[in-house]
Amino acid sequence: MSNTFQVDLRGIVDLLSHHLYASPRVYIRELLQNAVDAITAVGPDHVGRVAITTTDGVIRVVDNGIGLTEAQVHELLATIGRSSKRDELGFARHEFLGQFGIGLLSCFLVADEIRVHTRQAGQPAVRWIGFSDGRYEVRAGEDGDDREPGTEVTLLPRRGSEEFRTHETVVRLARLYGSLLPVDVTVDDVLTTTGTLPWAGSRADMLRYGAETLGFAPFDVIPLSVPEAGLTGAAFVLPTAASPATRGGHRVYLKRMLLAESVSELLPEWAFFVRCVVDSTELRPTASREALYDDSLLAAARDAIADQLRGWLVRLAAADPVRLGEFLRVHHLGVKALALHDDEMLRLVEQWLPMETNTGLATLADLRERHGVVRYVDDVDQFRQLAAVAAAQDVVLVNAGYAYDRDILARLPDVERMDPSDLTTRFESVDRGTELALRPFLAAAQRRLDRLGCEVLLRSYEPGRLPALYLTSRSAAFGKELAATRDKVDDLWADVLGAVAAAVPVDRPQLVLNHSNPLVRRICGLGDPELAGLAVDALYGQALLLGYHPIRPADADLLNSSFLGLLGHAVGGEV
Amino acid sequence: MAYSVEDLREMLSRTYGLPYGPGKTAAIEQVLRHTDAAGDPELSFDVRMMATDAYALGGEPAKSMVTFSWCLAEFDRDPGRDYHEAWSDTLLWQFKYMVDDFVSFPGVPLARTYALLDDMERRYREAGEQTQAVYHYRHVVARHVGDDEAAAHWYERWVTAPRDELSDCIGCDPRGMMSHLISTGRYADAIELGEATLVQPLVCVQQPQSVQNALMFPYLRTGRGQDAAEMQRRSYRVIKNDVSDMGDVAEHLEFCAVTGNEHRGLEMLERHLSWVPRAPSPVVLMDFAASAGLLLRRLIELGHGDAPVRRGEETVPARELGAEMAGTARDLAARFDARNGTAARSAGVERTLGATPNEVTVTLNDR
Repeated sequence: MSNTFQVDLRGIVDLLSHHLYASPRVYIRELLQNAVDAITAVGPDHVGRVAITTTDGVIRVVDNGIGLTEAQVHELLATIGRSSKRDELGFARHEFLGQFGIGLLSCFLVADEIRVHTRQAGQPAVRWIGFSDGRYEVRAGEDGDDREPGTEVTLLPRRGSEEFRTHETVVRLARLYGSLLPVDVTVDDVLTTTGTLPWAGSRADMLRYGAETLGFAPFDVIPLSVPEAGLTGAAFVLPTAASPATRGGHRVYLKRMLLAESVSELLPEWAFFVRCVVDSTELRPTASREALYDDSLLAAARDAIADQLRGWLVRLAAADPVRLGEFLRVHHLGVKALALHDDEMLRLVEQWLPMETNTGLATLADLRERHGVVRYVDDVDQFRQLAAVAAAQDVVLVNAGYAYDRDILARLPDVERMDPSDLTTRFESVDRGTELALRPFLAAAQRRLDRLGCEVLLRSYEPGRLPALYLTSRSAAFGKELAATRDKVDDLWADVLGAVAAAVPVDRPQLVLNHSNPLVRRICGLGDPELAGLAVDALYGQALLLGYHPIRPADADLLNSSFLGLLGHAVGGEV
Repeated sequence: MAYSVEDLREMLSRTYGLPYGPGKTAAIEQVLRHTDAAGDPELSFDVRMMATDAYALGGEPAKSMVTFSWCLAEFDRDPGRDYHEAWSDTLLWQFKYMVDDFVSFPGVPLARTYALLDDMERRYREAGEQTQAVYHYRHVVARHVGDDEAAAHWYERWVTAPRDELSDCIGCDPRGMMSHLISTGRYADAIELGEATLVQPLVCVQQPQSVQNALMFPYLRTGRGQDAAEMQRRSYRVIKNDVSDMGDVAEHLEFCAVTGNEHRGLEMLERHLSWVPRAPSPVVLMDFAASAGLLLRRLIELGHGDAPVRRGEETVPARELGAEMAGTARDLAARFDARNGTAARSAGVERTLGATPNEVTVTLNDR
C-alpha cells in the first residue's frame, strides 16, 4: 500500500531545517530522544539500551523500547500534519506520537530515505519506509518478521550530509547530547553515556567535571536545587573576570538530554560570574528544543537560583572573608551589578569592597564610620582634578567614575554626590572689604574669560601653593557641547537646540582664583590692566592643564598668546 | 594632561560592553569631553554617534539631539569622508529617535517635526532604503497630535510596507502597532499580535518586556485578568530599575490603580518618585504624573487621602501629592496642545486621571 502525506513533507522538512533547527546535527538528539522515550514507556524497571551503528554512512539506531503498533505508525505523521505553526509543533511534542514523528522528520535533514522496523510486545511487527519527496509505505505482519520488541531506525544517506554521519561525528554528538542519559548508549560499540549526574558526586568530582566540560578551573562550585522545576545542578564560579554584558550561557539538560550549551534565560543578568549546568524534568523547551520557553516556571526557577547564588555570597562573607576578598577582586563588576538591584548585595559591597578614594583604598562602611557622610564624584577626570584639593580641605572623596559605582552609591543612605562646583562652598570666602576692593580686577577678568564661557570666582583655600582651580560639572560640559554644536548646524536644528537649551539646565565652568596664594594676590594688585589680563589668561590655562581638562583650539590660542605676551613683558621693550 | 587618540579609542572601546544607563553615558561623555582636543575627526564623529545612542537609550533623549545634529551637520557638510560610510545606516536609524524626541519636547515647534520627517524620508529614499520606518514615525506623530484620520492612514501605509533593516526590530515594530490597536479599542488584535511577537526570537534590549507591558491592558479589557497579572509581573521585573522605562512604569501605576491593587501601586510610586526630576522627557513626565494622579485619587476614594507618601527624605500626604501630580500632568498637556493646535493630550490626561476601576479586581503575582 502506498500513501501520501496529508502535508507537503518537503515543506515541513524545509521548515525544520531552515527555521526550526540551528543545525542538522540535532538529528542525533532527536533519535536518542525517541529511543529513550520508548524505553521509558516500558516501565521503570526496564533496563534500556540504545545501539547506534554508522557502517558505510548508513545510520542505524536500535532500541529495546516499547515499539509501535501499525495503527500508531499510521497516526504518527498525521499528528504533525495538523500543526502548521511553529509553536504548535512544540505542543505536538507533548504527545508521545507527535514527539516521535517530529523527531523522525528531523532525520530528513541528513537522509533521503528513512526505514523504521518496529514491534510492540504481543503485536505484529511493522515496517515503515518514508521518502523525502513525501511518499511513505507501511507493511505489517509479514511472514517470518518476528523481531524483538523495540524499534530500529535506518537512515539512508542524503547527499551533502556526509560529515554528519561519520563515526567520529556521531560519537561526539551522542556524547554531547546524551552523555547523562539513564540508559546505555553505544556508537559502534563505544559507550557514550556516563550513567550519573556530575553533581551527584563529591566536590572534587564536580570541580573536575567543571574543568573538563566548561574549560576552566572553577573558583568554587555551588550546588543548585529547585524542586518545583525538578531541577538539580551546579553553578561553577568563573576564576577570571567576565564582562557583565556577555550574559553567560548555561548548559541545560531536560530529562538528562542536553537542550543547549548556552541558555542565558536561566539566570538573572547579574549572575555573569557563574556558568551553570542543570538538569530539569519540568521546564519546557521551545519548539526547536534549543532554548527554554519563558513561562512562569522558568521565572520561578530563575528566582530560586538567584537566591541560592546570593546565599553562597552571604555565607562566604560570614565564614571566609579572605576568600570573599579573592572573589571580589575578580568579580567586583558582577557583585556591583547585583548590588544595583539587591539590598543584601549592596550591604556586601558596602562592607567588603574597597573603593578608590583620595586618601587611599577604603570600604564604604569604614568611610561612613570615620566621616559620617560619604562623598563621591562620578567621573574619573573630576576625581583626578579634585583629589588633592579636596584632601587639603579634609574632604574624603570616593572615585565613583567606574561602571556601576555611581549607581551603587546613589542607592546608599548618607552619601552625597559632589559636583566639582560644590567644592567652592567648602572654600573660605575672602573678606567683604577685600573682595569689594578687588571688584574692578574681577570684572576685568570676567570680561576676559566670557568669550571662553567661564565664570571667575575669588576664594581662599588650601593648598596655598595652588593659584587657581578650574571646576566643571557634567552640566557645564553639556553646555559647552551644546554651544559648539549650535554654531555648526542648520536652521532647522538651531531652533531645536534652542528648545533643548531651554529644557535642560546648563551651568558654566568656573575658574576659582585662590586668594591664599601670594602670586594671585600680587596679580590682583597689578596696576597695568594689560598685564593683569595676560596673567588671568595664564592662570586659566595653567588650571586647565593641571586639572587634566581638554584643551580646545580656543584654549590653545589663549595659552599661546598669554605666554608670548608675558614673555614680552619679561624681556621688556616694545611688544 | 592630554589624552592621545589611542587612549581615547581604548576608553571608548571599554564602553561597548556596558549596559545603556548612567554608567555607560558617563563613560562615553568622558571621552567626548576630550575628543575634540585630540584632533582626530574620525574619533570626534564616532564618539558622538555612540553618545547619541547612549543618550537616546539611557534616558536622556534631549542630549541625543545635540550629538545627533553635530554628526548630521558634519555628514552633510563633508560628505566624502571615508569613515562616514560605516555609520550611514546608523545615522538614518537615529532619525527615528529624533522624531520621538521632537514630539516629546513641547518647545520644539511641530513644523520642525514635519520638516524632520520629510528630510528623513528623502534620505531613506536616496539611500535606496524602504520607507516603512518613515510611515511608522509619521503615524507616531499623528497619534501624538490626535489626528485620528492621519494616524489610521499612516498605520495602513506602515503595516502594508515591506520591512527592511531600518525598520524597528521584530519586537519593537509590532509593539508600536499594538499602541495603535489599543488606542482604537482593537484589544483582540493587539493580543494576537503581541502573542505572535513573544514567540519570536527577540534580541533587542527593550524586548520582550515592552511587548509584555503592552499586553497588560488588552488582557485586562478582555477579561483575562490573570494573564494581565502575569504580563505585569514579567515586565515590571525588568523595567523597574531603569529610568528610561519611566513611561512603561506609568502604565503599571495605572494598572494597579484600576485593578484593586492601589497598595502595590503606592509602593511602586514611592520607588519611582525620585525619577520625577530626571524624567527623560516632558511627554514621559506627563504620562507618569497622570498615572500617579489617578493612583492617588483612588487612595483618596478609599479613604486614605492622608496616608503619608515617602518622597526622598520627607513625606507628603497622598492628597497633596495627588493634586501636585494632576497639576503637572495638566500643565504639560496644555503645553503640548498649545504647540499641536489640538486638545488631544489634555483629553488623554483627563481620561487617565478620571479612569474608573475595572469591574473585576486582579490578584498580582507576588514576585
